[in-house]
Amino acid sequence: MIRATLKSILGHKMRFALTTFSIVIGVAFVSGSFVLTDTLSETFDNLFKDILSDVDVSVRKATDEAFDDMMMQMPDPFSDEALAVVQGVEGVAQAEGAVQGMGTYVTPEGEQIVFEMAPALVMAWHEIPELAVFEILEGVSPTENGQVVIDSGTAEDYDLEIGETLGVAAKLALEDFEIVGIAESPGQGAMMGAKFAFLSRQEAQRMLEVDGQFHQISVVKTDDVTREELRDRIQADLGSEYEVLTGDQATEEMTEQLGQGLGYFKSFLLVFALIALFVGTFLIVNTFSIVVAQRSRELALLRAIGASRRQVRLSVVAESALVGLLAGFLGLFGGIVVAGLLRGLIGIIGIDLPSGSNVIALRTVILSFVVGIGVTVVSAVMPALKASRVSPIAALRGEGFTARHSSGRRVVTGVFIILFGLVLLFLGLFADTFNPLVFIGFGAAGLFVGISVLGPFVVRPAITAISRPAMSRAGVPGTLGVVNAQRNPRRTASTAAALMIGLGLSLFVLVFGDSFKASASKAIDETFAGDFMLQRGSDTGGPPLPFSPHLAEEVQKVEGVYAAVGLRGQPNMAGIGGPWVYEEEHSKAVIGVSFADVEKGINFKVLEGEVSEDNPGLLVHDAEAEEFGWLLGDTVKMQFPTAERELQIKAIYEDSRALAGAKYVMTSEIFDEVFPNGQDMFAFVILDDGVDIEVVRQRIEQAAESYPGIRVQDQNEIKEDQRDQIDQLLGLILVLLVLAVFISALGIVNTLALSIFERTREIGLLRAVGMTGFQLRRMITWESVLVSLLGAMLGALSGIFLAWAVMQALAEEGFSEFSIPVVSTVIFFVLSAVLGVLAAVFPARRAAKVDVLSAVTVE
Amino acid sequence: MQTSQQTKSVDSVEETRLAAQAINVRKTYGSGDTVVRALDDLTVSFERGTFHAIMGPSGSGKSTLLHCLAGLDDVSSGDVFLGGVNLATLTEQERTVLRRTAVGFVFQSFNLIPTLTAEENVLLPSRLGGQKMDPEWLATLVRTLGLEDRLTHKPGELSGGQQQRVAAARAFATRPDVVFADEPTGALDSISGGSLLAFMREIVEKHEQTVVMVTHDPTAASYADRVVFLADGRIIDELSDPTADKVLDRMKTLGSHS
Repeated sequence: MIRATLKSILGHKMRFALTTFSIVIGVAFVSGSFVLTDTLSETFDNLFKDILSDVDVSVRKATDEAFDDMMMQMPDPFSDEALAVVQGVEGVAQAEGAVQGMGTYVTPEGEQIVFEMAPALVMAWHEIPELAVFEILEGVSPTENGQVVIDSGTAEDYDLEIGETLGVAAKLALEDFEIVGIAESPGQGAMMGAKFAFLSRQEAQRMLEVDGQFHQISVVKTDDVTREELRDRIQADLGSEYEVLTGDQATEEMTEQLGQGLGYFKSFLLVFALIALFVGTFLIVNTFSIVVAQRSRELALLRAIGASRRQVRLSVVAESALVGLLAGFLGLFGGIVVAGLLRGLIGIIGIDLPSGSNVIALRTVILSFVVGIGVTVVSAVMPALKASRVSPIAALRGEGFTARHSSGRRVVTGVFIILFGLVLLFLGLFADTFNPLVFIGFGAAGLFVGISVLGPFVVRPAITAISRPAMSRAGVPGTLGVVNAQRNPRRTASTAAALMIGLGLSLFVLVFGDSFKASASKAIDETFAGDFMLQRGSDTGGPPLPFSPHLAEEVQKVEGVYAAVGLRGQPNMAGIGGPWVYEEEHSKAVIGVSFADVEKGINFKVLEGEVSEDNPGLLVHDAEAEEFGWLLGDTVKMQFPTAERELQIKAIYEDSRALAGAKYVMTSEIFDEVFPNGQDMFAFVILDDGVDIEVVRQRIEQAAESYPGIRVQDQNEIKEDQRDQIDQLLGLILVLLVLAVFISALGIVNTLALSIFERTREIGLLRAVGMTGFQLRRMITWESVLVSLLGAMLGALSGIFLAWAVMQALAEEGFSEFSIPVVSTVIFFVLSAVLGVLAAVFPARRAAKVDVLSAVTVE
Repeated sequence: MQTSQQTKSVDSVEETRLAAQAINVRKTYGSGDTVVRALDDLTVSFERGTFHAIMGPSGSGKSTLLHCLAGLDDVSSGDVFLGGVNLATLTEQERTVLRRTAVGFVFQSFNLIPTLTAEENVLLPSRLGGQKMDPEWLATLVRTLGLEDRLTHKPGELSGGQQQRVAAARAFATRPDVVFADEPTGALDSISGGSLLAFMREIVEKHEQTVVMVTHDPTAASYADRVVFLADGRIIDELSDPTADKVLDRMKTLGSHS
């Protein structure tokens, strides 16, 4: 039997190659995701160790444990008196305070160096050499006012030299500094493209507005204590307001946080790997079904000469296992290529990942083979069962299988799977489940599988409908293409279904993205507070960056400006706004705003209470108030990372994008107290009545010049901006989905090639009665295009439905506008047709090569 | 195509009288010691308006001759004329068009496209050429072959004999110079086979059509006007107005010869 299996594989190399390839892509994506993240994780580990090896103990402001799970925040500053305390502890050889914050640099040519996926930092230079992460490569260290040292990467990228002037802005506005040195770090790779400007400690404190404060203290111990002993001593002397860590703990913590980040990244990649594998599954099921059908006589013959059902079944499963084994093997190594490609893709976005030799963990190897073999064998089980049902007598009668499934059973199965998928989908969308994404994912998968089960019923009418507009001009090749696409509805349906998944998800992304854009535009229309909005961000998009609160103050002074309202926040995992926790379990985001400014004109609707400068406190979104049963005047206990406050609810408001979607707003004075690192995320500018808008705009832009990266935008520009940003994200996701579409296109190639093999005699006959090679190619192209358009149609329906469903679930978050992008959808169908044409190239060429004579003289 | 066919035609009365002709045709397979001569310096002509049969033992080259005459296969040397056109001068594309217009085929089995109805199968060659089939001629063929009730059926719904009659109608549909039939009754019972051949004979007689049929069945050959006997790639004998008995006798003598 094994020999028969091998023979079968070798006999159909092309089919074998295509089937294997479809799984290789999926496996490669899985192993690539692991290889890349493992490699990064190990590289970062080593780099962190390099950077932190000399720091024995480090001290920072203690953060409430409720915030342990949140991503790394910039630590809050604390008084420099702590340094004196640390220096007084026995066992401390040297200790030094550090400050750091985000900034922007401006080159002598006026080019702005802003946060582009990796931050531009402003830091104090370490005076104690043991603690210095960076070493001077050229020039001297910054010891005097007006001096700056930059990292060698930035110097190289922007062609900066010693002696040149660099503009630096942080919390204070732009000031000129002289570049006196260029520094390099052994751990440069771990910085992921972060940029550094080192100032003297006093200058850094001044620019970051943390005079007399530090963000962190690094300690070198004497030889007679261990790190742990020293940590405990310092902790005892400083008290619980501070958190003291050994260097090893600090390294571990960074590694852990990074691991978390890489974990998200890996999950994101694995989603696409799963989609690719899912599509590959369809392809394999289809291929093996066709192959089994074609081999039915051969299998029946095997049965007739004494092979048991089990042996027949095994021979099919064994073939699939071999395909899986090879796919696992190739996929594993393909993973290294994929890892490289992903790295390149990330590089394009602007993140420099440190390079290291690829880490191929045993886990990755095992997983590749398990996934490769598992997916293939599971896919082949159904066809194998079918194969074993062939009766020995069938070989003598020369017939294959008669379809045993009644169509009634198929309908029931299909409808059941669809309903099951819908239930999962809606549970994921509307119910409180442990992991909504998993529910949604399986729900969508169920929907796709159900549609493909029901597919055969729609093939005939759908193909007729799709082809109708073109048929009058398509001639005989067109007619035959239509007929061929309809002759085996199951085969056509499952081939189209594979395509449906990739195309459906693409259209889902397109429709969802378009709705997102429409909703955002509408929200901006409804809530855009004034005439202009100030935002900081790089030209390449990305999230809005915080900027100095001084900007709004400056703009307020501009002639013709009625009000400039800054919205205080800091970016974090809970949203844009400072994180806080209610009752130790609900993590929320809060923004700060001057109540005086609100009175003046932020466009949001207060339902109860009133906002007044003289009455500082908390403003709450009505849905939140309802959820927690708060009433106007209630006091809410808010736990912030390093502080705790009890605030009274002064007003309850309706949802408003003007507040960046924030559900909680507090007076900016309180915000600044509890979030010393807080900065403005947005600022609205309202002009006086009757002023020349363009003139005032120029004045505002002039005022903003000292705050590099600030963009002054009106309502339409903001919308445009938002659309661009959404488009960019959509683009990235679509690129990753192309993979799934590509695999399903292979499915068309495979199915066509197998069908053509099956119809060799028929093709020969057509040639004999006068069909030209060109007409033959057109016939096959028609069939391919129709299958692919059927896939596109099913994909469009399911994709639009999914987008609609998700929109319903997100309606509360402001996704109110359901919008189908007409142009994109038309392009989508055109591209699907093109895909069909391309998929037909190889099979059609093969068909055209069919020898007329051998086709008509078989037997 | 019309013009190119004319320029390539051999300009003689003799040629226009002939539907197909092979002159000094050789067809060899393989090379060196293992060379097989399927056709060995063979010359034969087929007149228009005549029902020809080619007979011979297995391996005599009768099918090869048919394929070469029809332009389905190349000859190693010599010339093949079809309706006055030398096949050697045609490109693959031109040959395809010639197959569509000047030649009809009836094979032993699998003559019809299973997804098309009987009528669509008959119309296929004209439609491939973008032409409309003469409705009168279609009606004549359908009537002669007794297919009136079967036109909308798919091949799967027809008996073997009916399928072969549809194939015959398809073969005559474009009024070709020659209809080549390769064991057309080979897969039929004697009654269906007989009626198919009778219909073909009727069309040849009444409508000036030409048939060249390969067969090994003396009864089938008896429907022809002329029987050509082949052995080892050569014409070894010929018989006019054959009966089954005469053909059988002749075959016996030829069999004892070799």
